[in-house]
Amino acid sequence: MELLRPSSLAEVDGGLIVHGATEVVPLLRDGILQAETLVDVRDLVPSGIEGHRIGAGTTLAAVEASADVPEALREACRLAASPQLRHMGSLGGNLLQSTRCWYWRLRYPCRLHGGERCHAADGEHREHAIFANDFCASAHPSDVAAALLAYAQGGKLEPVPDGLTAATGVAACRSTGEPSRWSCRTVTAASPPRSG
Amino acid sequence: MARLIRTEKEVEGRFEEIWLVVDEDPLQQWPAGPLEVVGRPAVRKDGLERVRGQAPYTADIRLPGMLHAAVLRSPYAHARVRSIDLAPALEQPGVRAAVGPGEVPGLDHEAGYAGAPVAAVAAETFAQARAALEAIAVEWDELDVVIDPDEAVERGLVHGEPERYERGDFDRAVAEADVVIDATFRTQVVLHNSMETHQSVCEWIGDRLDVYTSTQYVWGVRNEVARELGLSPDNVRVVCEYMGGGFGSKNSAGEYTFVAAALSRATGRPVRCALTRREENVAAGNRNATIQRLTAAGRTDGTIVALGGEFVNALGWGGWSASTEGPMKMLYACENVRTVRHTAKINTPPMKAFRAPGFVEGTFGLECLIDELASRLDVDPLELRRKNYASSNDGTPFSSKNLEECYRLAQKHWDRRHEVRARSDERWKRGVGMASQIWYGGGGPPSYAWTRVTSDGRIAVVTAMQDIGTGTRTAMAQIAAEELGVALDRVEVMLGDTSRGPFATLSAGSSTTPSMGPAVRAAAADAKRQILEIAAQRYDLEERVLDISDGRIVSADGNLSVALEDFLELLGAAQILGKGARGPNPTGMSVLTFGVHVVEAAVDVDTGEVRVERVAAIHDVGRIVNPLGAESQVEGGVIQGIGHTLSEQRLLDPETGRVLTTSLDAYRLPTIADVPEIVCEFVDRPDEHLTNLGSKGLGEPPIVPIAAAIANAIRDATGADVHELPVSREEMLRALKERRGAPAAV
Repeated sequence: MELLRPSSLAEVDGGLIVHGATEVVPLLRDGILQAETLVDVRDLVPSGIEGHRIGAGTTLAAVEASADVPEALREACRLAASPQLRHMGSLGGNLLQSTRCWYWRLRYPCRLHGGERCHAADGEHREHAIFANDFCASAHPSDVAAALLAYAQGGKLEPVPDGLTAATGVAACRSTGEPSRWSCRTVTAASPPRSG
Repeated sequence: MARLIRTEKEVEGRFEEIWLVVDEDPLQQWPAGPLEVVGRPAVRKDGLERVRGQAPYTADIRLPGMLHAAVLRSPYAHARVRSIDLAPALEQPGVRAAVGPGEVPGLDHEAGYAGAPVAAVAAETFAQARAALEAIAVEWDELDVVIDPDEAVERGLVHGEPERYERGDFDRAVAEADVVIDATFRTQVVLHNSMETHQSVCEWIGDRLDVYTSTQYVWGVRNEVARELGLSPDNVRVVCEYMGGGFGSKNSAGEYTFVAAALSRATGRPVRCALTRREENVAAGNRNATIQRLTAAGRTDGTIVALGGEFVNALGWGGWSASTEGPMKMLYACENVRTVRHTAKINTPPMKAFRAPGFVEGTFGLECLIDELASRLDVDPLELRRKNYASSNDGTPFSSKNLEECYRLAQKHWDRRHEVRARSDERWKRGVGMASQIWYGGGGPPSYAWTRVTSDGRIAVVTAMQDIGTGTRTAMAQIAAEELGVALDRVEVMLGDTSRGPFATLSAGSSTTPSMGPAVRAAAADAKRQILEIAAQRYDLEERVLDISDGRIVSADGNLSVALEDFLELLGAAQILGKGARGPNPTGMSVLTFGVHVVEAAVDVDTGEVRVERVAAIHDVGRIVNPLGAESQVEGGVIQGIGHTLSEQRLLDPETGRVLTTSLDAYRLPTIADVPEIVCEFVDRPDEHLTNLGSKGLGEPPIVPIAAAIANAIRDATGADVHELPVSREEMLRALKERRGAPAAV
């Protein structure tokens, strides 16, 4: 396996894109993704926080630490994984995570792997979606996505803008009334799995 | 002088009567309290090596020409191999050898659980080995699968006969009691998830086998490997210099060792067999689930008149049945106790000892029940515990017991409950709960240590023990430094190699410090005696007026004061060699550890979320050798216990019986963000009957009471009785809904 670090987008030609690689490496290890070439895009993807724009390459740690970022989004970052992972993982990569459904991760022949059924629907699904789960019961794993959607929707449950659907699915969020105490959890269908 | 005695030996709460050769333990105990080195906080001697990545763990072992093994595991919860063809795997790129069922201890034709090892291959890379597994053609006959422990007991699918215990007249006491409570408690399967997965590297050198393995017992692995492979034990060398955790799951050799040994023999090259994290979550052992149907009966004056329980240990395909009823038998002065323990054999991965096996689960049930009784009797829970204080272990005196002192130290934390409750609001209810701890931890003989003093004034402690990661190296060095009157940095500890030091006990059952500490002190005292003998001759003084203090040889009259290293120059190439042995445990006494935890918890009554906000952990384990290391142990135990109580649970696919939670995102260990304020306090009184050190073990005690203390804090906060671990949102909301006197659902 080789790792490329291209200096411009024009040089990127195939290969599996990685940023912090906190998501891709476990998927490679589990044989869900296959690749001979990894392409490190950390120098190419916009990074940093400017007003309402957060570069996709900004790490969760940077978002968590920024006083310019709304509190619910910072809290969502703070609750994700561990400090080590947050220093590697990017906001864009966080939104593009595959489902954490254990059946999918263990390569049960479920619908997302091209099979006939959703194993979680009949099996262990306590951490899965509680609605819109007919095709696939898994939920999108990103706390950050839920916080972003909450801001996009003013804290109300609304249909999700098209642009976000692929990455985040539908999120259910709840506001406790005070801005510093949001509870956000995504609760439903994941994006289709990406291939290598 | 060596003596032969008949004695009871205890490991992890299991007893056997054995013949034992022991040495005398003539040294007087040191006075209580902090000394020059012992009893004072010491940073880990190997801390820098560890954080710099320089400490060689088994996972770091890379021998020249080393091959990598991968293990084929059963996809079925219960099945038999009808036929297996390893030949296609041998054709795969990089593959050098393969072994099948029946060829290696641990690889069997009958797979009793999904994930049971059946075959293995060795290849140039791990990726090649793993890829080759898919080429192995296996035909399986599927067999009857039983997952439900109650069904297993009913159908007689058990490991051994039920264990029964009775004292007094349980039925009569219950009939005459003022209040009787029956409750069923359930605890889940949890996984050790050692940071370093189970693994071995094996290399044959002629007829001799070197085994580098992540283990809690280098001597145990040596003897087991020798026995299984028909070798002389001296032809097996076992090395474990640094290890990344074990928690009871690394007490024996494991099939990965035998796989590596067999594939190494077949190829003539070293072979590494290391479980992946996913395999670690399936086949490395677990704390078995329990069902506890318990009864407590009391009088209005606060006397506990009867305790009873039917316990089911849901053991899985293998393992051993721990004493889940132990706390019920031992913690309180209750005259009437009746217990029975069944051990279900089900088609799930085998149990292995996990940090106070049985007592963790049993203390959850018992100490929740005691608080429910206190609530029904309207007696303060701390008062109820004091009132029913046990002054003997079922008639056998304790070597030392300072639980009363633990309660006294707990009082100030317990008194915070009014203020804590007052911080509740509409949504977050806060409360304080407590639970007591009883467990073993006395250690025992045999265990030996040597000391070596050289002309540069350095002191080496040599013993073939292992440091499971608890800071054993540091504690042993402190003990030797104290006895020899030198600074801690003058002492080195050499351990972790059966060919480089005398026999030492396993690092399990909270036994390392109480077993090894006295042997190390005896070895240091032997060296000191010899140094003073030589000094007496050199300075023409009587030996009895000489001592070593602050790194100097001094005479009682103060006329002589010479730095030890200056004096030792006269040794030249000569060395002073000391030897020490662990003496016997006190006869006719129960050596036990005690403690109490006071927990402050908050419950979100809307969502069922539980947060632990503060834990005060107070323990009585005799003399504390290293207060800093001891605090680390308590913090680690408390955090592991919080995971056990609130988030950890091994889940199985109900259809296939396969483990689903095989990664660290699915299996929820606590992270640093889950850690509350932890306050550690120690009674720190030497056990005057126990060895020249008076120390007991602290590895396991801190995980014992935490679950019940959290559950009791939840009850204090909300009035809800949680009865299942983990206390998931589901369980919390159920308990809230069913609480006594709860308003009707809105």
